[in-house]
Amino acid sequence: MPKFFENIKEFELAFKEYYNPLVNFVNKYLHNFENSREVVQMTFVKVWESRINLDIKISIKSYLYQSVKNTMIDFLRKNKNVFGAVDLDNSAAFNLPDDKPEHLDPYIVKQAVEVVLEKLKPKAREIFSLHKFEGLTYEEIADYLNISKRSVEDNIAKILKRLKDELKNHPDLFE
Amino acid sequence: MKKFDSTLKKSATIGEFKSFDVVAEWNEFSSIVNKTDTIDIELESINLNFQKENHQQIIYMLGLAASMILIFSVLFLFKKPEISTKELITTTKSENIKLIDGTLITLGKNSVFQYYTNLNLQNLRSVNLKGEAIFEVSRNILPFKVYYEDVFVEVLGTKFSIETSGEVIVIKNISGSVKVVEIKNLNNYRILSPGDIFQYKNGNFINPNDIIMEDDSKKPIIKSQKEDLPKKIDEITPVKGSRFTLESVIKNYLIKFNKKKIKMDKKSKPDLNVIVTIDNINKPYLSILEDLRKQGLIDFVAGDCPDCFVIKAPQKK
Repeated sequence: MPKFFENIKEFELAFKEYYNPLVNFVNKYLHNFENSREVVQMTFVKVWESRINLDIKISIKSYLYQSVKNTMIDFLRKNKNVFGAVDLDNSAAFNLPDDKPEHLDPYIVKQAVEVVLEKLKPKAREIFSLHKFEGLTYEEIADYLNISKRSVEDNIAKILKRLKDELKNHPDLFE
Repeated sequence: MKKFDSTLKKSATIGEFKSFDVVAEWNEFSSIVNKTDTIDIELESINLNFQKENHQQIIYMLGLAASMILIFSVLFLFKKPEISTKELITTTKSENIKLIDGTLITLGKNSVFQYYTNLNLQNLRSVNLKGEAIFEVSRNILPFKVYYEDVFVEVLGTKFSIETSGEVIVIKNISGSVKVVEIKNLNNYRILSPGDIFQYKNGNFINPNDIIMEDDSKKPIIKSQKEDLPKKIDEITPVKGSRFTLESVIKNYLIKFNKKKIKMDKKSKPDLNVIVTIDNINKPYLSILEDLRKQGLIDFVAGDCPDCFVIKAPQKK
């Protein structure tokens, strides 16, 4: 059984990797980045304080997903005067299944893409967006951008490699 | 890869995605955590201090308890022990009694004998007597004292008797050495050799063998019948000196009492049985030695140490 957060460095790495995905995940329900940040900070503080007795039998992702969900629900209950009883009862956060941390995956990938694309040239960024988000084929992109198909293939391959490197801690995404 | 592609497509549906500076967020988190940890440490410190104070209080209480025990122990040790005495009174019959230290006493008729019965006071070899008694004192390094009217008799181990005849206290030394001291004046004492009989009256020690100087011009009269003396004690005139054997003076006065180291010259030994007259036994030992030399009974020289003397027979003139 792996021991998580045996030292502060390990905890810091997990914090930096999951912070933005978690904030954006929470923001989907709270629609407020400041409150979302507060919920995520509170979650990490709770995890840090209980790290000694922590017995995680699941992945870090699953654990953080469950923790942040619980913290978010507590936050909503404590601030029901702000969010309103109706909104609280109908909040999708309450219906999030505990055993599906995959809800977090799009946010993890989104962050990786943001990081990788930010470092790319605009043309490479456009090639990747046209292929992955617009669904254009390599030929369509080559025709649209007036470049060779080979060039499109090379750019896509390089970007996917960078994304794999960026998501090396999430091998399950590439199964 | 299909999973990645589908997830990637889902990520595209995320509307607004905001990336925060994770380094800054981490620093903020660290400050929160450090503050909490600091508070925890402070709480632990307070707890430790509390425990330390508690610990110090326990030590203080234990110290106090130990001090109390010590004080009470010391008080108990130095507490004046309860002195319990026993009194034996005889009327028409004499009685024998054996003390804790083994001393045997034959108490005469019409006598009162008081002695200690505490086992813790075994060292108090001290008794009071009225009447008459014969003592067989067990040998011990501690002196045995018999308080009798105006005098007390101090011995280490000996047999002696003490009684009153009229107003005169009569002490007969049967064996060993006996010291009779006047209670009011501790410097007024006599040392009795075996066979000596001393009488005491009004601060004066009288040896029946004393030379009674009725007149300086007359020859001294030596009383030879000791038994008659108590009856004639009132008629005795003040004495000018006491008579002892030379051996008694050397053994009892010089060696035992004055703690001098005396050696006899083997080539010229003095006659130890000769009777010597000491006008005042309280004189310094050197004066007494000089008196004995003047009387032509001994000659002496200083020995190897300050308290050592070699006694020899007087030089023939």
